Amino acid sequence: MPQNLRNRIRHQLSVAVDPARWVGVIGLAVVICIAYFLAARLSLALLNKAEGVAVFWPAAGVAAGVLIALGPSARLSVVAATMAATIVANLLGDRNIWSTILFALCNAGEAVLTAWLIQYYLGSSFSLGRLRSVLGLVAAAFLGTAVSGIGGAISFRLFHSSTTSMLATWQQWVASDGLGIIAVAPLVIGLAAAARERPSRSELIEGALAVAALALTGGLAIFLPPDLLATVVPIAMLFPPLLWLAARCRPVFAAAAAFIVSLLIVWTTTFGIGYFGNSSLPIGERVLAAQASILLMTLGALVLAALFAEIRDKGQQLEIASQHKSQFLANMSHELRTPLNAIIGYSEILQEDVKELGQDQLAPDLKRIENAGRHLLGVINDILDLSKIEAGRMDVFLEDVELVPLLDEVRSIITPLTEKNGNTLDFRLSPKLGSLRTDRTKLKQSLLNVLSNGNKFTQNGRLTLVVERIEGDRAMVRFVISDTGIGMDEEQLGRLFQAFSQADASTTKKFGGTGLGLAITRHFCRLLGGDISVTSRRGEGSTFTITLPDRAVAPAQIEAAKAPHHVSGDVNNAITVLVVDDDPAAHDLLTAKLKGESYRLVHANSGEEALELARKIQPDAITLDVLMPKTDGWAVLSALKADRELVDIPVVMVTVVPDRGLGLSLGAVDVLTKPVDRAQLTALLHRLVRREGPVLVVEDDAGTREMVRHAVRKIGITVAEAENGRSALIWLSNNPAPAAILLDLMMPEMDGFEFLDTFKHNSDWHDIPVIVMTGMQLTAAERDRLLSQVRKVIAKGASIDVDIAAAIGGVVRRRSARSVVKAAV
Amino acid sequence: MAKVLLVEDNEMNRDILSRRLSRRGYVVVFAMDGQQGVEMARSEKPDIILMDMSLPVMDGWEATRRVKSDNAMRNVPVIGLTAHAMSGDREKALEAGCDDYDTKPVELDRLIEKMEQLLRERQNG
Repeated sequence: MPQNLRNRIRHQLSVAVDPARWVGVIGLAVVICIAYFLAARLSLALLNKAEGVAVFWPAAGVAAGVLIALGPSARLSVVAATMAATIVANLLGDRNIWSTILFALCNAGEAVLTAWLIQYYLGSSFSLGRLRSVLGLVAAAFLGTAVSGIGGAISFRLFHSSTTSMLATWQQWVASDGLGIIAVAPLVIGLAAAARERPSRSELIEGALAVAALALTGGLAIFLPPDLLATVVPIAMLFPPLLWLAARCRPVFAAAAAFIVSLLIVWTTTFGIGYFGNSSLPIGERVLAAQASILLMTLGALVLAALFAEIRDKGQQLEIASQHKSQFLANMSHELRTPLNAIIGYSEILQEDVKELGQDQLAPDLKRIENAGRHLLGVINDILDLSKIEAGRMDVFLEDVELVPLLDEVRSIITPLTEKNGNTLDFRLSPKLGSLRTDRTKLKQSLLNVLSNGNKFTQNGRLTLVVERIEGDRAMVRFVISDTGIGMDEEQLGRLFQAFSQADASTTKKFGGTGLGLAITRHFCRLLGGDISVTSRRGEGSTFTITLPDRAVAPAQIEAAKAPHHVSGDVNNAITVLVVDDDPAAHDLLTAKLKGESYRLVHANSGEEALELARKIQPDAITLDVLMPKTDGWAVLSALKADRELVDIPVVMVTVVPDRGLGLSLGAVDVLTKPVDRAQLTALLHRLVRREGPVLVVEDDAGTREMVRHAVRKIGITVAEAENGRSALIWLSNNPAPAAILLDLMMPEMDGFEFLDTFKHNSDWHDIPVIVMTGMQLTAAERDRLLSQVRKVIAKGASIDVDIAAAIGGVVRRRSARSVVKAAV
Repeated sequence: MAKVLLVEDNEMNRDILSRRLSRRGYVVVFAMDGQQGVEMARSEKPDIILMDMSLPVMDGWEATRRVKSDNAMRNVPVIGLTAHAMSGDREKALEAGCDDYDTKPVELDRLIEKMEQLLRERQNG
């Protein structure tokens, strides 16, 4: 225990005498002191000389704002600075030392009290984006100044032989200091927050425009002669820019605009100009009008801004919640299906077993288990489909689909069902149906849904499918499915395509099904550019008509939708090495040696082919055999070095007859002797295509970071790491630009999307290629949006290391490979 | 009789499918993940591969790509198996190089029909 205590004391002492801390405290104090002094001089300049009353005291807002923004650790600096500034400012004016000291104490005290009240009641979670915080600030400002006002009033009475009553002095103190805090502290707090969050350039521009608009309308309201404004309440003019500020900009801009207009009001009131300068009114009333205007306008601006910020916040939270929901449904359906597979599978095995054992009487029960399982599986699949549709995560895969084979498939699936219900199935296909560009699985499922739906409600009747082409402006294919079943009335038809609603709740009991099939079908048809409609009469059956365009279009989506797997297989961006040798065995050998090094090898079998390929693909390095028929290696090397386009590509000679001197003099980087030593070759290639690092890896999960670090180092690049978007931004602003950024999307504090929003607005960073790696299921649209900002999107999966190597290889390639060689030469 | 390599991580699914296939006379060998699947495809030289797509260590798509990019194994037919037909899995499986595709839980007769067709094609080709 004593040891513990001693340690604590030692720790406290070391903190107390830490020079860095004192430099910080004193530096901060000097800055605040200057700001406070200037604000105080401003207030004094705006003081109505005749009456000695200030409309407001912005200096109070500087002290309180700094203290709220920086927290209790700034308390010492603020107190010292406030007192020093007050003393200096007052001694320049009247020289009463005692009143000056009392004022200084009051000024420092009200800032400390206001900040402490906020800290106590709101915790450290103060934000201009929360209504609670804004209202709390107003309350704390008036409470704090109400206390300090007592000291102020006493001081005026004791040392200034003031004629006004103490109560009036107190009122004035509370009004001007309270207003000062409300008008200025939010600006200080907002600026501190903006310095941390770094708004993008477009945000700054829009914010500045909105501030200017409010200042302009505020100015108009004050300066335009009253008769010009006869039909307009001046304050009403402020609403449009106020709403603009609140709805579109950060709260700091609303605070800034309110502060500017407040200054205008104070200035015009003091000097008898414009609306507040009406000289027929006594100064006391004018000041009161000005103060009321400042309070209402500032409060209005801050409250509106906080409300809108809260709404924006809610919107973001909802989006995240909806993502989680989709993810949950996807996971859940997997969890549900796994045991179902076992139930269905084992009931099938048992059916086979009992048949073998001759226990046929058990088979029907087992068949029932299997059927129930399959039915449940269908329901789960429907729910998953619908949730994907609702979340906008249903991608479309277009291909040319031959209609007749597809319809044969549909028929073979549906026939057993129709037989069970005693229905006849009639397909009437017009000749020359040909093919349809559409999503095969979705078309098939739509037809199956509608057919099985018709079959479900038809007993001993007939199901007909008519397929025909409609020529016209836009070629279409029409599928008409009619049944002779129970049919529906008008009211049931209206609800038919809604999710979770069969025509009649009792039909669910009688006929089963989730009632999702038709809703899903309609979504699918619309997704494919077509639609589904229905006509029906009770007791006379129903007719469903699906119409689909001959060629469905969704060009942007299709390519992107396939991207994640395209990417992993795509090594076009990897470091390319051109291997030149006339002996196929040598190619195989080299391929084997470079296996696992994530290089893309391109093979040329002759000197001519090598030159042609080198021009075409601009490889990162070339390995060149010397002994080849027709054009030998030396000739190829000379040709390469004579070509301005190719001269920079490093060439490694690989030969059985080593002539190092000749090779180097002709411009080869190195000469290796066959059989090539694997380690030597890979080391050389690593050196040749080494990149200027580092690659910044932004990823919250330590395990993944480790894996990525490994993958990147493997291709010879150093790695810097950040745990989330915010620390990545900090790293970027403190370090020279990295060679590339590998970015995760889902991270705490600041996610990948937010990071990109800020990142793209800094022109210093435009050249840094960004590669996104994500485990998120992205929609085609999301992927498109991302790809407009980043070079590549990699899906997190088993082959992510290969993908990373390839992607990094692609983006960090050219400039470095060349420069390294130049340095070597 | 044909030798089938079944790559499937779920023990029960593996048990069900392998027992039913053996009963129909196939020789079944299995692998638990994609990596092992590729290794076994090389060492066991199966006549056909049934590949689950969501596998640990290396997923089925990647494993299929590796099998199909290896000269020695390229012409072994691969049937991709996934849980659900609607999520674009079919397209992804075919893109990865699967010769055919089916959904789980499998309907054995349909699966065997596909397997036999691929085996016949391989013999003829």
